[in-house]
Amino acid sequence: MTRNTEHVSEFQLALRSFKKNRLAVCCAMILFIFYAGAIFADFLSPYSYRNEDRNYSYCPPTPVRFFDEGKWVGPYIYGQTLTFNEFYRRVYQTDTTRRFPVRLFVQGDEYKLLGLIPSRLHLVGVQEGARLYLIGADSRGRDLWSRILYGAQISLSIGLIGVLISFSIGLIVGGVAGFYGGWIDNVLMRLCEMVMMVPGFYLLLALRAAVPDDFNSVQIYFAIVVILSFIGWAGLARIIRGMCLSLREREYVLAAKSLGLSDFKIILRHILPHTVSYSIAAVMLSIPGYILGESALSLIGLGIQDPYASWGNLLSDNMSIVRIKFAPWILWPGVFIFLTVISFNIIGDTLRDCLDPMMKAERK
Amino acid sequence: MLLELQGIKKYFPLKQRWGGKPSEVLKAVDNVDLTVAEGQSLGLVGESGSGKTTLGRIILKLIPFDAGRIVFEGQDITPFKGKQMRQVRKQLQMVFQDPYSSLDPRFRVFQLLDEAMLFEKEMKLADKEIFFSGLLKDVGLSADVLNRFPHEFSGGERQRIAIARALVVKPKLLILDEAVSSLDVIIQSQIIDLLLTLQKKFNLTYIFISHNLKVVKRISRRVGVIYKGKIVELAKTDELFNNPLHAYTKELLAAAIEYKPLSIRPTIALDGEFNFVDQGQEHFVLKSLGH
Repeated sequence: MTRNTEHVSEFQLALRSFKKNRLAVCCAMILFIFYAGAIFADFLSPYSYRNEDRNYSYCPPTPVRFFDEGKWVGPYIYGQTLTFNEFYRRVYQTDTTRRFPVRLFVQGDEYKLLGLIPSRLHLVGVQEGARLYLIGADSRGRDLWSRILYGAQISLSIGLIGVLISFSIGLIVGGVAGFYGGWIDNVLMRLCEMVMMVPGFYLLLALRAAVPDDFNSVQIYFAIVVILSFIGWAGLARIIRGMCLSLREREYVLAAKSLGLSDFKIILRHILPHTVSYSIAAVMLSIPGYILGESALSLIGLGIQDPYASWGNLLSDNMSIVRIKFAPWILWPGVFIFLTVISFNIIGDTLRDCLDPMMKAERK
Repeated sequence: MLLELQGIKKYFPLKQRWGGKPSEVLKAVDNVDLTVAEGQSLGLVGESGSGKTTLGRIILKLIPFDAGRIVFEGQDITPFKGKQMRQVRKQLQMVFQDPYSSLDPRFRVFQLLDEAMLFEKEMKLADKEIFFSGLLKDVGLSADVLNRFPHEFSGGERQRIAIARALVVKPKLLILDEAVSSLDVIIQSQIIDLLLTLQKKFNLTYIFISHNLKVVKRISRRVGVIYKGKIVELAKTDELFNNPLHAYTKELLAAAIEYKPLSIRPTIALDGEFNFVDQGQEHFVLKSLGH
């Protein structure tokens, strides 16, 4: 009766076939780097998100140089001098006479690592007198690279927390509706339809309008998470309910019942886990919705407020074509949103294929 | 009597108006009385859709029923709910038809068996493993299967696991709902032998639900024939097979020997009033009062 010594679950088999898809693994690595960047944003960024110097408004990137007249001298940047042209427009000139070495592990703005350990250590930095702008500066002379890192903390976490909340609601509502059926199912599904009836973005705006506008940044952050989750749960609940309707007729559910397990335990152990293959893919595919939702709110000024950074409100600078022409580097947050969204989508698609081989065969 | 069923009814609504009473019903189980003595095995035979599976599920109260009483060990368990019912289910277990769907594919064998250990929370892991190994040995499997997933087993092995799971709680009554129907003939007889051995070892009472007369004949002491939700004949196994009295029983026995086209088969009507009449030697037949 012994066939092979290794006993793997279906999930482990799925994980193996996921690892074979190079594109998906690549995307997973991108996301891993992004999330790591968000977690250690304080350390990785040269400046704090609110460290501003108005003399450097829209200062172009300061390229890091290594060689001086063909000789290795280590990384350094040149200073920038601000002048105004005949239209009183800011013009930055590289001042090759002032040279500032770029140092690793320098003391800079104060922060608390992971919200706990107070520190002043930053990965890179330059001494006073010049500012290190790896990809440029924003209107108030804040380092855009630092702000993107800090913005990642908000933009990336909103997706995760939002998905967590709305999926918990969706799974429980869908699970209960599907398991019990009858009038419970009827009431819950009509509720879902009421939420789904209203077009998403208008509901987003309406709910945002219902939130007091004198909230502080933390309150706004949570308001946005709650609003986004409130919109997201209904669709999932409906699909989970459909799956549960068929799952509850399986014999192992009856077997569990006859063993004396409570309804709650049966839903948790024998019904919802079987919707996981769908749910995991759905989670991955719906996170971009939350990130984009937050970006949309912040872009039109209803989300995260200055000086706090999120990828959405960093992008709001781009609402003027003149600024994009003058300082094209302010488009960078868009690149990060794009990469994040497409990575989640590719991972979601691949996971769905791996976890549900039957569906894959059907589609082919 | 270990188990007593009194006037069990289960009607499925076919057409239902909003809030009103159903205008048409399917009488899945219609006024069934049945008794099972301890250590006995009762066979229930009937064609597909005759309500035998529904009856089995009603006994465990897995589905609600419309009328009647279930008395188990002299205790009326009809109104039992929640915790009380779960205590009773320790005594009543079920083995299902399809071993491919009665074991949750995400659980290892150990977890499958462990799930039945709901009432023995303080038992240690090592003790559990010893207990499960013994149980698996009883059903003819080696202990090293504990770590495997259901998809690694054949149908017969899976059914053995399902039987082991039902035995974890040390039940008195085991309902075997088409428990061997999905297995091939050789495995069938292996499982039946196993069931007979286990019955002796644990003093089990079986309710054996099947459409397969051969299997029922082998395992049961008494056999009930179900037709359209009613028990039409109930007698000792030999008596029933040698001397079938009801028209449907005769039909069923004939069909088991020879294939008959549907057009020749007579439809046996079950309308009007009936009475369950003892023909002597505990041989009961459903007889119409009209005659």
